[in-house]
Amino acid sequence: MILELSDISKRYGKKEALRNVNARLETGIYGLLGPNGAGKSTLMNIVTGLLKQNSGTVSYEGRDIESLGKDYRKILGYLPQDPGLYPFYTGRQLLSYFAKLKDIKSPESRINELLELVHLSDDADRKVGEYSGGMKKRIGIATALLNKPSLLVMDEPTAGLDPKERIRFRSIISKIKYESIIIISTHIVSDVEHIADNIILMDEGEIIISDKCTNLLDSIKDKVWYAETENSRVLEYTEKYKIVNAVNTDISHTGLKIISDEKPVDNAKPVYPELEDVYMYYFGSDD
Amino acid sequence: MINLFFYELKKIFKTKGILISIVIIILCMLLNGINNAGLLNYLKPDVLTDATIQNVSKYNEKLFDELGETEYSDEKYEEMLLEYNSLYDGSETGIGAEKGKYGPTQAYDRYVYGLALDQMRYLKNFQSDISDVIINAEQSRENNKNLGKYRDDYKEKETTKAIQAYSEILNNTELKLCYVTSAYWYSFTESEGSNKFNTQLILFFICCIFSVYFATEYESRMSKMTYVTYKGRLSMFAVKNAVVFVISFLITLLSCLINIIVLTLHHGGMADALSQPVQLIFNNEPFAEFCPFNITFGQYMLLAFFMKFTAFYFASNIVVLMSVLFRKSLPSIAFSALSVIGILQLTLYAYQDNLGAYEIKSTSLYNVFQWLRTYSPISLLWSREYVSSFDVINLFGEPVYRLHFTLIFSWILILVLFVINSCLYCRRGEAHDIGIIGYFKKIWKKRSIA
Repeated sequence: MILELSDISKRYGKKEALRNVNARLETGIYGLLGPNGAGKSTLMNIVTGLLKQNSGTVSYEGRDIESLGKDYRKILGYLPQDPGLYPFYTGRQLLSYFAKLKDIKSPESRINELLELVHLSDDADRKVGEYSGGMKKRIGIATALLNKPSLLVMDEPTAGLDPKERIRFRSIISKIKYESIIIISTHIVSDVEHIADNIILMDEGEIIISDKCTNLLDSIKDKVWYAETENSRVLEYTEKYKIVNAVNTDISHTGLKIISDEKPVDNAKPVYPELEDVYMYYFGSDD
Repeated sequence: MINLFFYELKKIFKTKGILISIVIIILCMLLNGINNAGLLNYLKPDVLTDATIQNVSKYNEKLFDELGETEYSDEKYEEMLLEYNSLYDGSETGIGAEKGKYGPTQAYDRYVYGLALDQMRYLKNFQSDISDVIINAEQSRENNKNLGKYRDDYKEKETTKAIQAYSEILNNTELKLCYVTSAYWYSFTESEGSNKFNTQLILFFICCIFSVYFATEYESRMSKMTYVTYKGRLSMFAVKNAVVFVISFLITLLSCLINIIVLTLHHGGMADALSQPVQLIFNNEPFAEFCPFNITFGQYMLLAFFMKFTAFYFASNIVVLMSVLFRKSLPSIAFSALSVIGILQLTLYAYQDNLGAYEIKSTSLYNVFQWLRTYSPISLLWSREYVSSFDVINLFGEPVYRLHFTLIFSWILILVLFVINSCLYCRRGEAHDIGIIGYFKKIWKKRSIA
């Protein structure tokens, strides 16, 4: 399974939302990270066919998705950022409705399997309008997985979920990662850190860097530092360096995690980087 | 696709707002039917007033059962006239004292017999009336021919068409008495009685039903998820439009059936009238004496049903257009109601002054009236007006019945709307998500910031 993005550009009036985006995606999980306005949602919409690019092509298995049409949508699963659901349907009815839209014959067993997977079996016959935010997200995930998609696109799938549900989500996605290309766009770096094989960083409509998670972490392993300082000097440090984290170690001292190409202060010690540090390295401001 | 159609149909009945609209429509139709049947007149005091006279249709039925399918002849007419004159005229003293044969008193008997006699008189004059029309048309054609090189070719075709139409009617029409209450007409002609208000109410609720049906998909943000499924947008739109078609059809059917059921329960059946030529339907006044079509009243009812359905389905497609433009229920309801009921109100206004008028009161309003009758599908609600006279338009030099043209033109308009709506529904882009108001708001905001 290969999804190729070739020179994708999209403009809204004078604003360039995407600028010559190129990427080649194979089986596995891709975390799409970037600040607000980077173009992540625009890219997601183009990949799913909701939006038409101004130039470039999206190809699946070597064929333009425009020409594939229905055949492309047959293998596609999509969970938007804020999935809307008909409030008057029960969970089970909603899945049945989507099964019809996805042309799934005799979907009952698949529906039961998915309800079990997202832990909604007991609430399947309640109206979706009565569901909590987390439950709505979970039923949304179930609808996206109905047709066992080869390409799964998820836009901020864990926004609004509590930590327990986020762990559950990671577990669900991990189970299917070997069968599909999964693209997850998110601000919550920790969600993709543990499950994503590849990370794509985007800013101002361009892909800054795209690589395996391990490679990205290795690339900044000499650039993440831990230093302790007096509380009165914290502001001075934040003005000079990119600070990832600041924690009070005692009443008068603060421990700072600093991103810097060189050792920032004498007492700074190198620490092993995390994905959040990679994000801050590329997107953190110097303020 | 069939399964998806039933899912979509079920969705209509699961939405509270839509269900309430449907219930209100049915209640309005019932009230309208009851009013048409004259049942509300029973609330008035029991005196021999016009209102009470309208409620004597059951006595009519008794009399017509006795008369049977009486064929017109001069002898039969004279016989009925003698019978009428022999009945006691109790109009000066109110309700006549003596017990009647058909009604409670002889005054009622005289009244119902008078109605039957009026019909016989009408049948007596019908053949001569139509013959006069043919003679005038032939004369007109002759005069036109005599103009030589100045003759009007279109005029010749028009008069020939009229002669053919009325000759066929004259040759094929069997003159027979037939029982029918004029209340049945009201159920199919929207220009009379309380139907004006009833029609506006039905149209308003059509706006509510289909606005909510289409807008819910955007308001609940389901559209993003449904559009990327296998069926895709075009299939979804086709299925949704099939639902619109079926619901419009059901509303039209309910509107007609409720009237017929209430009227039949109160006034009795109209089986005899169904097979009667439409030109011979008479109750105080002729229904369509100069109808150029050789059709029965039953066939007219089917035609009127089809015309009504065309009007409602056209209105539904206007609502769909507003829904896919605005993507929100409230503006969609407002603008579609404005459009659809606006056209209806304009038609009502134009019709009021020009319907059956002997002189044109205002040329501009008359032109509007004629234009609406030709090009506006909403005018098809006034079904009787299209069949009550020889009404043709000049289409590339050929006389074409206005009814035929308006029907075909209406369905072409509906098809055009379908194509426009499907393009808007299937369109990808920012405007697709936020609707036309949201889109212009965003542009305005950007310009203000700049």
